[in-house]
Amino acid sequence: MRKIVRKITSFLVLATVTGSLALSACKSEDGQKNVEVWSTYNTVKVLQDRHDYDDIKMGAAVDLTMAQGEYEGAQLILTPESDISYYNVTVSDLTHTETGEIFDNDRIKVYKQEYVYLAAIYDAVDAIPGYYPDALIPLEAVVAYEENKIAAGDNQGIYLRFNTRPELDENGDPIVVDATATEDEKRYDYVSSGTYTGTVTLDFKTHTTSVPVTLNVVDATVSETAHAKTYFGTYSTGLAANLNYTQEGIEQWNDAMLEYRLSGSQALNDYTASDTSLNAYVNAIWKYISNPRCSAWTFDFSNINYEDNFESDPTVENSTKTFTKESFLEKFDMDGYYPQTFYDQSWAAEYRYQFVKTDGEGEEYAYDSTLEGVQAFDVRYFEHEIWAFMKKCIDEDMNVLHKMRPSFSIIDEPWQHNRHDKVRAVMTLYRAALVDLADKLMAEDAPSMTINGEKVTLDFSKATTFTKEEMLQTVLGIRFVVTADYLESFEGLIEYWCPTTDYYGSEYARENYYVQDEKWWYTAGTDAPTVSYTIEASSLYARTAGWMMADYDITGILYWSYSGYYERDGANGARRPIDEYFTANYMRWPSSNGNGYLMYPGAQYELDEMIPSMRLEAIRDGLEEYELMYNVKQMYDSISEQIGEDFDASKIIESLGSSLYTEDKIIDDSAAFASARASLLQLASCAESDANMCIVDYSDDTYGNQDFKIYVNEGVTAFNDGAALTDVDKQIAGVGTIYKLHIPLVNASNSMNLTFTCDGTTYEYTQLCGGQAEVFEVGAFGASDFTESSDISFSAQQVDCATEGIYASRGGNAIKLTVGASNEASVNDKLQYFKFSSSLFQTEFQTAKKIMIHVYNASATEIDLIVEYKKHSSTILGRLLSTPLAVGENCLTVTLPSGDWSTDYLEYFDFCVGEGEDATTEKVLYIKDVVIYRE
Amino acid sequence: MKKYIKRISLLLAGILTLGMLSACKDGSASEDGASSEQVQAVSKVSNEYRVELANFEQWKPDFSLIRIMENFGKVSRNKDEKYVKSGSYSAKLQPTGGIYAYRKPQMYIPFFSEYYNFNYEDFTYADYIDLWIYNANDRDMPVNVGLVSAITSEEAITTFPAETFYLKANSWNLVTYYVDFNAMSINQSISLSQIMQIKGLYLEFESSNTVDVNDAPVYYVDDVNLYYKDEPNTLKDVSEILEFTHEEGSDVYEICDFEHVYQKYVFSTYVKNAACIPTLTIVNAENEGMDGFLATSGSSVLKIEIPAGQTKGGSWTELILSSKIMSAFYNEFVFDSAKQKPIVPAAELKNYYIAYDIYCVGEVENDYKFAHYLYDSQNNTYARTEGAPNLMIKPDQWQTWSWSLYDVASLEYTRNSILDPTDPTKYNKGVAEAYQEYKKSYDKYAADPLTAGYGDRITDAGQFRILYSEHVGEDRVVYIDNIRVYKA
Repeated sequence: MRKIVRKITSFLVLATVTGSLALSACKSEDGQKNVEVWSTYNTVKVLQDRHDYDDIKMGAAVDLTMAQGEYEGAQLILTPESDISYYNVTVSDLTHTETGEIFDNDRIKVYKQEYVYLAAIYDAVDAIPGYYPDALIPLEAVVAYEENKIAAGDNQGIYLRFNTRPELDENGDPIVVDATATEDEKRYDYVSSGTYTGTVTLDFKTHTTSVPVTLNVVDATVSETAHAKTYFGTYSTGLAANLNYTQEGIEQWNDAMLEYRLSGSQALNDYTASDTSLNAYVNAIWKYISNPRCSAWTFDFSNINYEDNFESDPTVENSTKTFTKESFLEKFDMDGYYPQTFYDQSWAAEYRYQFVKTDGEGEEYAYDSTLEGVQAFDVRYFEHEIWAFMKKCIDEDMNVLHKMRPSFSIIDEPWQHNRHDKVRAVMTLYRAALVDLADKLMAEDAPSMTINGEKVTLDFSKATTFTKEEMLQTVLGIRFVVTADYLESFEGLIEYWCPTTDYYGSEYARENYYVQDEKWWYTAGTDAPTVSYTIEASSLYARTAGWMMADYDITGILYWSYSGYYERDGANGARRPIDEYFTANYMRWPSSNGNGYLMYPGAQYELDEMIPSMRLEAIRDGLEEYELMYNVKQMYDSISEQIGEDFDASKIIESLGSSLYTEDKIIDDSAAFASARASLLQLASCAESDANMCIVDYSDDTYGNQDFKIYVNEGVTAFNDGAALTDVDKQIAGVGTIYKLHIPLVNASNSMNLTFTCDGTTYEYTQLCGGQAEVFEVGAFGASDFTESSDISFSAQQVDCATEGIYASRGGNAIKLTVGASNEASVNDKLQYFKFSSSLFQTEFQTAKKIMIHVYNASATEIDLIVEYKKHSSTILGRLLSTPLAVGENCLTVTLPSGDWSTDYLEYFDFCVGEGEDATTEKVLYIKDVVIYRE
Repeated sequence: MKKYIKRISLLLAGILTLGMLSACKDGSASEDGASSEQVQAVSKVSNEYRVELANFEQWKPDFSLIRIMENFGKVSRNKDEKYVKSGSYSAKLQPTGGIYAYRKPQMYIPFFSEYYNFNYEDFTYADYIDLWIYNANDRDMPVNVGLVSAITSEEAITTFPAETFYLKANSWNLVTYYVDFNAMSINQSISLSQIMQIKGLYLEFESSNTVDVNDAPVYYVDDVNLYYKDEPNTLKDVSEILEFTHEEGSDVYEICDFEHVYQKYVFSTYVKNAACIPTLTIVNAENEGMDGFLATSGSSVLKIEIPAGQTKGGSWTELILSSKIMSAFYNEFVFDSAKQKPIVPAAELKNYYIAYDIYCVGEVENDYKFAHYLYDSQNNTYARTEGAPNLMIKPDQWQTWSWSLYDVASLEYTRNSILDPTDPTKYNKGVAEAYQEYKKSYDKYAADPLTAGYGDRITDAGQFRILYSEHVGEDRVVYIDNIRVYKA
């Protein structure tokens, strides 16, 4: 009888609830008319339940500028006074204001921003718990599922995504209009540049609201070919969430990722890393790797262990191959390519194939390869993969093998899992495999290999777009990407280091990776202010990565998972399925909101497409800007060569980036970003003009003075703020002129405003250089502002620079700090910390964008410096900087994390100049001044 | 946060709302107005202790909670009324499986959701589950139905043994799955606490071995219900469940002849190639459509439908007879391991045989054979046959495989491995040392004349495994009956 009683109880409870609902359904709908419609930067995440956006709130209008060949979003926010029971958003076609050309509204997709409640904030941003937008649900689906409602007082974001890509065919590939053209703008059919206008209609049934749309398309092109390489890990659990665990399902994922210029890591749903499915595997990858939007793809590997097959009587047959470093170098002909430790390393290796047979009948069952007893991966299968891929390249007459970037999980983050031996085994055997392949490739004209019982012959005479020798170089050029930051113990083993983004946090750290011809980095939950894909971080933390990559010459970015659909059991970390994908269950990794997925399952809305997130949009937008900068770099190289002058785009990119990030720390300033993006779009068109205007150099003296050098062709006059440039740096006879332009940061807002005219067209280039810079010498702060914060002897005194023999060019005073050795007994406990706390921070840092501290290191050696900070409201220290302090003059540049510094303030900096053994010697530093670059 | 009230509550809410209509000033109907069908459903609920698990009329939670396992295939919402049992929608299933998958296409419906606020995990009073499945294919298709014992991750579950149902082609089938924990316990340990935490209902379909979802078979599922009863489910000791048929004075001792209800779960299977996973059902031999085909014992036989694979000999399939049965049988008829006393005297071991009958339909290749192993529970190892290791299969006839208990020797395989210490392919030092230790355990037998003759023969049997290798070509059917021990 217990069951019936329980059900009656439920009945009574529900009766009460439902009664209330029935009464509320009779309320009047008159309150729907007062809906505030506003907009803001598309890099801002407007929370559903926050309303302190007055400083970034803009009018009800959609106004954006785009290059050709990209996607760009705009957002409108609807904030009703009373409940909205229905709304719909449609966009008209846009019309060119001069030619009448139509920008089809099919190119504008409308999404509803879906909110997820974040109860805890883990990312190092100034975020608070609340309802954050992430999923972008196509509005048609929202209307179909009757989820187009807004509660009174809530913000509801509408995301409009514009697309200026060339005309696409039914497969989503651009239609080629001129197959002989190599430049995208000639090869494909783009919308014309210029200004288009139209209307967004917000329909609330009781009334409608119109919002004007202005789209400005400039003469700059985002290449259809992806030059940034990506590896975004596929977690097949996403297929289950999408209720489509099939090849169709995995292709849906990959097709969607391709649209975002991203490469997944799994092309085939049902396969085993063995010869029997190799053909299917290669063909599945081919679909993507042959697409210009796919820049890289990984190889799979087999890591077969001996099977516990009790009825077999396994016989191990050892086949030993030997190769040496010399034979390897001979093949690669890359003497000097690797660091010296590579050559010095004693890794003349003997690697061994092991054949495990079943039933004693001689059938091959599994292969494995070890190096000196350490299991690596199946080298034989690896060679078969590459061989089968070469065959495919010949069949398709297209060599895309150079896009292969293997990254094996068995040596993922080797420092963390103590996999040194494994790294050595894998890296050595992979090179051995390449050498072996090279040998086989060159052994005869049409070499062959037996794969799955079939002879696979490579007949290079069938290829017209590449030669056998070129393929040989491609094979030898395949490089492993290893997710590790530089460690001396791995020197010589790893070719392509792929550190986390925070390991690019200083020039010193970046130097570790300069030797690589292709640099990679990755994020797997890194927190703001470095690159971050968390839900609470503003879109800038994902998008700015593309800018930083262009600046630091990083080609590849790796992310561990874009499609994980599970949550973790807090108790033991076990993964379990989730019930609600959009508004809950957002933690795939402990203490990280949104880490591990970037898309949402479309099946939940019966869509045959994936549902993107705002984070995914931002990642793509950043990669598109990377392409714009890539394009600018190409143009600058071409112009440089053309005019015979040695310059490139690195300085102007560095200059644009200086307003967006410092080292690896991103500045959360949407206004500055919008300005930098506008500058970037102008930069491209200026370089491409007949004037070939290039900004060939840039410097900042860290005291509020910026200097630029601008090149224009002969016969063109360039102006800044209406005044002709006259300060000549260099005259290139018969070609052009390089001018100098000095921008002192003395005003509240400082900018460079260049114009020039050629062929009847006036070009503009505007770049915000920043707010006022202010120098605070000793006097604004003093010796008493410095105190020890660990067990050391410490002294601080004001001194005269001339007397001390430092800062001869600037003179004045400095604070001399003498930091004694740590008094702790145990080496492990030794620390040398001192604090810098000043009223200056409270009064002057509120509008500080960057803070520069000039420090003179008078110690005998370089110091490993860490700078942390304490916010007054916080109980923990945050890290700002970790960099070596060279002997002599240094300039420390720190960017305070985003947030409201008006109500809170920086209490102090904490400087660490020694830990452990390093804390046993005295350090002498001079603090010269503090320079603030304001917003 | 959106919350979805469990189905039963919605139905009840609908009833209540009808009664509240008059309270609205303007007389408009509530959004939750109930239909007459819903009214009837409510009255059924209170009478039959029914909980509607899913009717697929709304995406959330019915579809959003469906969990499909690796390489399952596709699930989508159907609104073609031909394939809707009730309401407007049903779930369309296209199970593909995978050529390289390790299991058949499997999905489950969970019994608990914190987000959607329901919990049906307590199966203490669960009676049965029924669901409608439309088999939209041109032949009868099997579906395995069972209960989920644990959800180990987002893509892995452990299960209780499944029951196989055959779905008639091109028609609706009401699948009624009766919860029988005692029968399941023959093959798997089950506790009362597990009964109170049943995680879900799983369905397993035949793998179509295709990567193209459009080539997959199609099913439609609708109206999944759970029913309760007044009497609680209890767990009996194995000894209360098992019934070994043995007539007084007979020389035949039944191990498993498929005549008892509990025997529907006695076999499990293991094969690495999911394409080769067989379908096992207990059928009446006379109903198999073969003239003169009869069971060799009673009327029921175990039918094994063996799908063809991709590579001859590429994998081995194991049919595993539960260790509980073998152990119980051995303890009752061969050797009392608790008392360490033989029931069959050592001197008579040679006269006793373990045996079964097998019938293979249709032609097979000349070297098609069945291999066998018996697990020694006492020493945690397998015995290998000696003398008659395999049975070469002949088509369209009953054959009997037998194996003298005298030859059921433990560590036989191991002994082979250490025969020649100079032969590196056979000698294994570690195993040799283990064998020496193992031999010591038989010292106790040597002291007692009754047991001395047992030597290293099995005294406590575990799983009995019947193996066959992957074949290519057409699928085939094999019947097994009358697993027994007899005295020659």
